[in-house]
Amino acid sequence: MSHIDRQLDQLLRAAARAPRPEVGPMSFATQTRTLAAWRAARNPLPEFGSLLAWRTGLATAFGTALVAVGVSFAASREIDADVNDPYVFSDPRVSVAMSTGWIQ
Amino acid sequence: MDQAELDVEACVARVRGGDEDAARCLMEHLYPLVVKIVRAHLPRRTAEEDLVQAVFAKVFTRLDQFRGEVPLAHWVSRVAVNTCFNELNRERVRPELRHADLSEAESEIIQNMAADTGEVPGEQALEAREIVEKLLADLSPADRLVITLLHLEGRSVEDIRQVTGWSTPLVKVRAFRARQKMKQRLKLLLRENHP
Repeated sequence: MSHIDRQLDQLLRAAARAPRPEVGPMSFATQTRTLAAWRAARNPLPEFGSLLAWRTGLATAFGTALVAVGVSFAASREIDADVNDPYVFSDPRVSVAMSTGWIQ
Repeated sequence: MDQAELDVEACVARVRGGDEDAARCLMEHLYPLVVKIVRAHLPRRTAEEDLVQAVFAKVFTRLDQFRGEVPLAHWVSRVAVNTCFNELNRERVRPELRHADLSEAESEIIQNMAADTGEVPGEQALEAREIVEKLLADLSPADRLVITLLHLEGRSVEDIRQVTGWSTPLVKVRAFRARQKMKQRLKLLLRENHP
């Protein structure tokens, strides 16, 4: 065995004798974080089927909202047209009263 | 549950079924083993608790792969060593250790070694450990792992083979090469001290 081999062995033997710190109990925080990570790994994202159903539902809701906006826009344009007509009464009760001759 | 009386087999079965209380018991039972391995192979910039958590996360997610052919502690040791090894692989190798990087106490050990005063005294064991850690930091993760297991933990080649999954010749070759590199670095330190 060479001189440097012996010196390295001396150093390694001394290092192996170094006292190790005591092992205490596992901290509650580490336990909880580990369990949370495990729980997340056990419950991954929804499967393809339920994801597809969720996306279909979302698309249907979006379509319904779009139709509703379109219908209300058309109705508002109709009201605008009526407002521009000077012979249209805003209150239908007045219109009915005139047509029945209650108001001259 | 008393850890000394823990029925590991039953506990593993319950953990496989998703029982978190059993998982907690198993963690408490295995923690001393895992933390010892983590401390022995901890990369410099990684928190001990983070690595312990990573080891247990792997143990739980891969528990289905445990077939009971070896004791659970052996299987967990292997998972822990491999997790530490992967973490060490992410670390950059530190630049070569110079004499100026040593503390006063560490420098004294090197001086005594250069003067050939024999064994390092027991009260300087911690400083010797620090020097070895610094020498190991220059090595590749595989070299570092094999030296730690063989010389600092006093494990046999067969033990290392089981824990790392390397073949026996590979363990021996790596140990030899790692020692050669350590000797070169130690020689430089001693030469710097006694030019």
